[in-house]
Amino acid sequence: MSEKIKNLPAILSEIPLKIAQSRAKQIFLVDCNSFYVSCERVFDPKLWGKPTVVLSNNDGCVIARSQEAKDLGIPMGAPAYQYKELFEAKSVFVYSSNYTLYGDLSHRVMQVLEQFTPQLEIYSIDEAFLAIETDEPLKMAHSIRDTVLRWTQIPVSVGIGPTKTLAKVANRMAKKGAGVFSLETEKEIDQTLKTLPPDTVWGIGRRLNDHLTKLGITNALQLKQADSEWIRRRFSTTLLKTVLELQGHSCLPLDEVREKKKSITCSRSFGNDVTQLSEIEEALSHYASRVGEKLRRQGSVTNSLTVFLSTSPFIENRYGKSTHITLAHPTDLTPDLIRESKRALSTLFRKGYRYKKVGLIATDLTDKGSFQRDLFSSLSPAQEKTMALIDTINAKYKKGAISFAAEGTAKRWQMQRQFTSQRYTTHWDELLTIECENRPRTLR
Amino acid sequence: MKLKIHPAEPGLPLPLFLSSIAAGFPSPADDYLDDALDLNQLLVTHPAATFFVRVQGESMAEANIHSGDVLVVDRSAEPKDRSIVVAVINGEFTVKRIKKKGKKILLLPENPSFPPIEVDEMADFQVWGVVTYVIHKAK
Repeated sequence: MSEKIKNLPAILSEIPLKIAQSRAKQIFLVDCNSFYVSCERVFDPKLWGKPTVVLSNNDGCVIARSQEAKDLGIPMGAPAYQYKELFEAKSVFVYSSNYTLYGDLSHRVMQVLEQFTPQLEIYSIDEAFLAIETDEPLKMAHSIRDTVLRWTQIPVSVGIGPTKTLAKVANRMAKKGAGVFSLETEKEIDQTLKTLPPDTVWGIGRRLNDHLTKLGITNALQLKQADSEWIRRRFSTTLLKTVLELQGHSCLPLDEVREKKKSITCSRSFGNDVTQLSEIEEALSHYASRVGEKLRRQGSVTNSLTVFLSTSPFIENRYGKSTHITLAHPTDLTPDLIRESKRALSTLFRKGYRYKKVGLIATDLTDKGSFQRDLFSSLSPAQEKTMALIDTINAKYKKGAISFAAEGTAKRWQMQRQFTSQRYTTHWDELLTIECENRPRTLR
Repeated sequence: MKLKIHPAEPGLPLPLFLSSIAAGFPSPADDYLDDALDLNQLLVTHPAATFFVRVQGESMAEANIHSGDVLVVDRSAEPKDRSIVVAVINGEFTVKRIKKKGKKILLLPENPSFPPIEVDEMADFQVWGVVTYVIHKAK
């Protein structure tokens, strides 16, 4: 490895690098298999081995499939209504998304992983990077897999490599094979990269893949072997980092702190088509409220809002429009967000359409601590205290215990969720119930 | 291989005071203040692996498990001889006391005049978790 360090091009001095030394920490990427489906299976053994899918919000499309469902040819993102007949014909189990359950099980998986190393980066709801120093990485990987499965019933795949990008490659191989895969030697790395097209590498999409292919780079090994200076000049520093990572130089340190979001969105599709402005305003006010909560939770204020409104894109009488407004004062207060988003909505709404979706995005966020207040700012200390109090009460009792009158009480527009499972781990009245019969069941 | 265990700390944090109480005198207990008792510390050893399930039916009454009780189930615990476990048999959940016979597992029926049922390797049987506590409402 030290020979490689001597030969690195000069431009590397521009990029902060953590040069991998021999016997340094390996990066493990742990990724849950068909996570949402696996969550449903924890409390429902009748699903084991059966084709199962989970649907998106409003039961719109398929967002998770078990292996058996994949084998039936059900694609990711399949619209549920289109596949209804197939689901019935093949006895596919269908569930609405139960994020409460998934979030809790995800948290448990991460707690188990934390026991293997404090250097853990939670990358998404079902993926995490771990940095572990070990002489026996495969043995460690099996131990991780077995422990997570034993403790939570969630099956995972583990990929190991000297960098995050290589760990991701290894994880892909693990998923297809035995559930664990380690890329340790240069030979192993090169052999594997040779078999993969560039767009299987983390951070490379279809367009970049096509661009690279035209220039003669048709697999990940060729990408790894490309001249760094050329890559940087022809493409970007981002791609350069990817290439260096493929070469075993760690450019993406483990990010143990969750970054603040750069924009916050809240929108849903309506369960039933909505035609009245007042109902849309109710929904929008509710979403504005949620955006406000998220802003305050991460200590940001927003400088502008985008509001959008649309009908279903599949019908004849289609309509879809959005508008972007800059706020007079950066704010994180719900009354401001409600007022401003309603104002924006009034410019979008047209009578006679059957609306399916409304939402808002708080863009251009700044740190609350750093923004300048001007003389006409609408944030008063009293308002801030009130918002903080509302947030505390809602967190303690339940979301929406205190809501704004503008959000409405009837809420006809709420999502359809026909097939939800119980929230087994967060609600006392939704626990798994087990029948204790008088005679033990006979076993085959 | 050495594993460093970082204990997770769940808890019902019950603050001793919600605002500072002006006692008017320095309390002799000031130096001895401790956290209030927390059921999680008593009942839950591994929060990530611990689940609560409810029981219906009286067939485990001899094991002091009655209909309506909540069981604390630890999936990380090793099922020992005579443990009460939540198991999956032929795709369905059940609660049973098991008896270990070497490498085999026997299921004990609650009626002592019936023999234990042996679980062989071919059977569709799996231990889901070990029951560590039974929460029963006094009636």
